[in-house]
Amino acid sequence: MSSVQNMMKRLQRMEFPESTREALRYIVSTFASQDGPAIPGLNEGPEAVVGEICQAFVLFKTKRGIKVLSALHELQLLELLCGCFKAASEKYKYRIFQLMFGNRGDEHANTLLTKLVSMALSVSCTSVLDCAAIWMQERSCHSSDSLLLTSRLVEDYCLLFPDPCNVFHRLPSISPLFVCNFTTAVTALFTFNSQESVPPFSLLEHVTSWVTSDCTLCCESIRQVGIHGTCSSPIPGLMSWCVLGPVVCTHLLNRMPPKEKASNKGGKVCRASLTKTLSILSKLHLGVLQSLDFCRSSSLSQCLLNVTDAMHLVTQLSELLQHVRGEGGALGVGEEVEGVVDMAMERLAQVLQVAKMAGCLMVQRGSMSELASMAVKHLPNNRLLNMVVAVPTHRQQSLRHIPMETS
Amino acid sequence: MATAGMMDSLSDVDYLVMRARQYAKTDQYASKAWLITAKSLFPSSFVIQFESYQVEKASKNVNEAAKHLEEMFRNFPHERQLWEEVQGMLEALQTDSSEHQHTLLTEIFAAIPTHVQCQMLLTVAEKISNTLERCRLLLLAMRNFPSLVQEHGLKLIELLMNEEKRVSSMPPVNCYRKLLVCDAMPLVLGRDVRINLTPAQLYQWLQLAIEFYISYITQPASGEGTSSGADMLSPSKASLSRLPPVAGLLERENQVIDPWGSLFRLLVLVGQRLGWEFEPDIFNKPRDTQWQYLVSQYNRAKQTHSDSGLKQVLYMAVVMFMQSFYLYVSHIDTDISGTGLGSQHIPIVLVEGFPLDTEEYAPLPRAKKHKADNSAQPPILPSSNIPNSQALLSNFTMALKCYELLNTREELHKDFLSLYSRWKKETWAWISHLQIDVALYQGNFQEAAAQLQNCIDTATGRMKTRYALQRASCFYCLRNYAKACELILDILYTIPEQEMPEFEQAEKVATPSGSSRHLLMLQCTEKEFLPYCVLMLAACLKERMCSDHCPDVVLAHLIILLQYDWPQQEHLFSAIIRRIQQQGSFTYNMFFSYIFVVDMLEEFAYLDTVEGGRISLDILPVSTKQLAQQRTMTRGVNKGVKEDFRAALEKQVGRLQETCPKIIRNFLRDERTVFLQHI
Repeated sequence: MSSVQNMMKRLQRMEFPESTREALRYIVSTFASQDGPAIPGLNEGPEAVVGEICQAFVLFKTKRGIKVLSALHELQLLELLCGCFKAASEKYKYRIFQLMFGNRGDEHANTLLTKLVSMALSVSCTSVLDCAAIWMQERSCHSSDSLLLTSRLVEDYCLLFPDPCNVFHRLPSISPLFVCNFTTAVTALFTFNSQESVPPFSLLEHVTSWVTSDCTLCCESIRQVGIHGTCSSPIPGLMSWCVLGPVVCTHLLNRMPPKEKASNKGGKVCRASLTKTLSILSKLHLGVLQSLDFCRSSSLSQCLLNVTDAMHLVTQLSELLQHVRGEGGALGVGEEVEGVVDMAMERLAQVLQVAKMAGCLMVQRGSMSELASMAVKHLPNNRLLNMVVAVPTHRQQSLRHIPMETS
Repeated sequence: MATAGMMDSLSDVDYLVMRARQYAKTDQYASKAWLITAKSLFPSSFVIQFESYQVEKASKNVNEAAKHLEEMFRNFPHERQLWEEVQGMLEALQTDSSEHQHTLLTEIFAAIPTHVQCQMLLTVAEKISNTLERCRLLLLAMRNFPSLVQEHGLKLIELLMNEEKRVSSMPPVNCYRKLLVCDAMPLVLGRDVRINLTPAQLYQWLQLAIEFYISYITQPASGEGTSSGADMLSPSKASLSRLPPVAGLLERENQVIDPWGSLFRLLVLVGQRLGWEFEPDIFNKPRDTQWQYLVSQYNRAKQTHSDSGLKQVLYMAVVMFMQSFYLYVSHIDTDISGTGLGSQHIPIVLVEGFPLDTEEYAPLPRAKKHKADNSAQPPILPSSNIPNSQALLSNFTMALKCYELLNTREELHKDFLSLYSRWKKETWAWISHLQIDVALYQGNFQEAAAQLQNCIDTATGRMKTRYALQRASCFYCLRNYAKACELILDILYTIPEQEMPEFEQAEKVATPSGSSRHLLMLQCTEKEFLPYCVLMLAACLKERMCSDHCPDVVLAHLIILLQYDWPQQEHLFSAIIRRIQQQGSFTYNMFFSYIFVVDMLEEFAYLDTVEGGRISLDILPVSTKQLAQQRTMTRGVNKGVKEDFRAALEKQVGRLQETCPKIIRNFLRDERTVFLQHI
């Protein structure tokens, strides 16, 4: 009989929570003892060895089905898990996390993960948040698993308690990587291209405060690219917010009856919060530019933004414009709409330009001119956007240190 | 807001800046976003970066503004607008203004890394064409970053020296010299600075420094300073406020605190570079100690033939001489000094004393005899009314000793003369007192009288009286009694009648025993100099009395004057009476107008008796001879005359209550011509 089977027998005789505590101890010690590269075919990795124990005593899955824990026991389980990740070494911390939550499509595991991350946020558990962030970027922040996790967290921390919340405020110092990937995910969750996808105001506030307070946050995931082979960038999503947001908000404001200050649609969108949203988007936009500008000094920022992201945005913007113009014209607020459309295009141009100069813009062959022709085709004329997209990237960069002729 | 048309005509750079400015008031974030974009589009545009800096400055983001400034400094070191900004910052740094804009600028500057600050200062200093500004900035840089002194210290010194030379006919107190001496030199001579300086350089610096400080300290006071109350509370502060500002300097730069102390400290700094040995704190020691130190240094230097040692003695003696003499002069000449003694202060006058007679009435011991013998220094007797007279005296003697040391020692004399001739002394009016008082003290009356002649014309008030007293004193010693008396009479004539003071016994200073020469130090007040004047006149008459043909009128005048301090010179009066007895007769018809002292009247009554020798006295207002002629025909005429004389004497005793000074004054005024005729 192997030691694993002995262990299983021992654990089965134990009561919760001792059994799980002991199981976690055993899992950690197994990873610790087999530290070092495994030789494929010769010996099995620790995952194979302790997988069964993990299933039985962490996820409580047996051949007979899933054992449902009482609320109290579940809380004890989450505490044990937090403690386990806190104690585990950096080297194999994420492998243990993978062992527990790595199975794609495992709804039970995902539900436990959501509860664990929510708990980790409230107790500031860096280890769990870091692992969750990597988990998110590995299966893409836009994946349904990530979005589900994100929407639960937004519900827990932005909608249930919309007041300024200490947990989010301190988050950049607890897990910057989580902040980065969470931001990417929320921009995918709330696309801000219609009335239905306006992000909650408190969320917008938190994101803005994160981005503007630390220029490096947007690059946190990119930094991990060498370690995990995957990364996410919040920049395209934030750019969409800043570009589309003002158009959507202005449109919503115009549609509201002028005298009616009361909230409509269940208080989700109200006049005051729309006005505040407009002003905070300006701040967020500056934060994005500053974050991009900051990248001039670092070397691995190629992936922060892709010209195709801009193309996608141009398409979205033109669709939105069509919709807004149709209604705006009917409401007699055409000039106001044109003003905010200019602003949207100028923001797009600003992000593109700064990203380009900072070396954060991924430009595929011919994509710049493609973008230029798209802009010409779908968007109104704008001096700044013309200045930005008309000048090829290589020429801009070669002109960095010589005086530029202005036409 | 600019119209679209206007916008179109703008260049791209101007367009971007304009857009940023449009948002400046309404949306700071948008404004900054535009500027970041603009900078990214035109990285080499100074206009955009300067605008970014202005935006940060306007929103008081000290750190951001500092970053922009630093970047601009790196990328656009030749932009005039940038230096102006930095210069404004440096100016703010130098003022202690709490004005908001100044504070902000100072804060921005402080937020820049130190090495960049340092580079900024130097770069801006080099760009500035105004030398004074440039020197100020260099000074500021060196004060804040002492490590710069090593490299730039000497450059600054040369800059200041050349600039002063370039601007011709600068007075020694000028803005360049002030910065050179008070600010640059102490930095360059600082302990941690390792700059090689030749002795020739150091001596030149020292000369410039001494000339500056002395000219500065001794420049005439400017207007009325602070109230006398403040004077008393803080003499140093008061003297500071009195000193006129140096032209071209800012107010804060004009504060030369403790100039003498600063000069001494600089002397020590230079001396240390030259390997001089200093007795610790020598400049604050009593004068005696200082003098002994100088003498011992001199002797040692002479024995070891040390050139550097002699130079040390030269410079220290010069500085100590200047200081002690100036402190002395500031008491004697209140018009000149800038030391904070108000014009209400009473000048002090140094005059020849009269060898007080014992029983002998030998003529004055001749001054010439003393002149040859310098070692026997005559004592100076200060009036008890002079406050702090001992310090005054020790300053005078210290100055005198230093001056003699510098003038009489071959090793020092040449250097002293060349040093002395190099300084622009036109403004040193106070130095003229040197020749006068030293000559007077040393018995060179001819020289003193000549110097006084030069000064007296321009002097007014008490200073004029002061010079006149000294001149009279000289003429007296030169045996030109007529001139001496004329001067004295002129002085007395200026005293208002009601202010004629009584003779005060207490004022009499103790005179040295014997008939040796001495000098008196008096306050230049009527109370103090009137007795001296009367004594002088009496002394002149006494000299006349000793000559062969002495008319009775001289004796009479002397008797009149002796009344002033009667019975101080009683023995002289006795001598005159003996003289009259020898002659057997005495004629003076103004007798009853001016002689009133009872003792004297009694003495004359006695002369009239058989015991007294039955001297023929013709002292009634109407001559007895004339009376005799009128009464030739009458019998018993002599009896009547006798009775007239007795009656007159008795009547005169009754007049006693009239004040002595008034009678003396009337006498000197009314009988001036007669008096001078018989001298």
